Amino acid sequence: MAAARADQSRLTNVDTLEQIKDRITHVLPGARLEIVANESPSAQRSLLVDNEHAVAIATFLRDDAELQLDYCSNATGVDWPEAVVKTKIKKMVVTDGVEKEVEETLETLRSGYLESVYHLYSMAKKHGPVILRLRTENRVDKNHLPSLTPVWRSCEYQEREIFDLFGIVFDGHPDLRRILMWDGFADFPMRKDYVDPDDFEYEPTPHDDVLERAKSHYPPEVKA
Amino acid sequence: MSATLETPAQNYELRPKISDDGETELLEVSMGPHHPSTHGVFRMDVVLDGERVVKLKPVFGYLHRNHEKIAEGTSYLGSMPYTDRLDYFCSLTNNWAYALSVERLAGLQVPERAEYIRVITAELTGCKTTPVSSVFSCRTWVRSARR
Repeated sequence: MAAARADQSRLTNVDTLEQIKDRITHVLPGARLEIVANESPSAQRSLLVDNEHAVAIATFLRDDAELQLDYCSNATGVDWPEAVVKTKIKKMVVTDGVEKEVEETLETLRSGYLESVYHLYSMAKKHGPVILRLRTENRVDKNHLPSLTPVWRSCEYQEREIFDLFGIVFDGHPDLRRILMWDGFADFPMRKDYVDPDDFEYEPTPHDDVLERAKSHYPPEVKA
Repeated sequence: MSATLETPAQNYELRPKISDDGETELLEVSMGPHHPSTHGVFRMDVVLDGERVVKLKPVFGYLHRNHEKIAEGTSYLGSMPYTDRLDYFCSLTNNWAYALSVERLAGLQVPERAEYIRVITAELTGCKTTPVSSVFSCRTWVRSARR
């Protein structure tokens, strides 16, 4: 069991995430990459990729002879709303002539953004996952990301789902339409600031608080 | 919501009505969601040349409940019953997959006994799924052979 766990934490047969990052920067010198840490016990780190080079990086990961990440098992979205991030820094402060170490909390406002996350495996080499992240500039108008469907065909429906539920627009996607919600639907249900419509819980004979909410949707003559 | 959503270019068109040689007229059929084989959950927009399917576009969402959204409002244990409804042919395996991901997220180690039970239930699911799917495909094959 323990051996199996240790094996799981190893990323690929050949490379660690740092080595993969180095190899990408070697092949594509302009690419901006960043390793995103994961503080949970799963410790699955991911590679944040810049939008301009995303397709080139994905093609490299798929076609590289040692990596051969030929299978995109999962593509999903993450919504990061605007939030206050607290970071603790240790600081030396001299009080009454005695130097003391004081912990200070810095509060910074992080602007919101959306992410799409891809889990890549290799069928040929039997390794993975390598996790890619793409990040939009904001959540409102600059919500475009390059589509990786031309690289991995299995991304097509999953990117459509991300578009549907998170509102990320994938440039270069062959058929970007809503997939689960209907065409006239305006919101993005998986975003953190999404508010449920108050009449979604339709009951034939509403009562109690459901009745109160339902009354606001009755036509005027019924209300009186 | 303040987010803007431009309507992107769509290639979702069931065209042309007339094939290239100008002779056969293609037939567009919206198969489902009330077709017995799709039992209400999805639809296929098919383009037929005689009995041959030329183009097919699946349309989902008729039975969409957004399990991820429901899971946001429940505990990790509370969304366990939803996971076996994702695919009723191998429900216990779906439970297992969900349990594994939660365990990895929380850094939990299950006892060996639980591992055995999981393997047994997954194998039982496999024992059931294999005949069901083979009978299903046999039936389809026999039907098409009869025609």
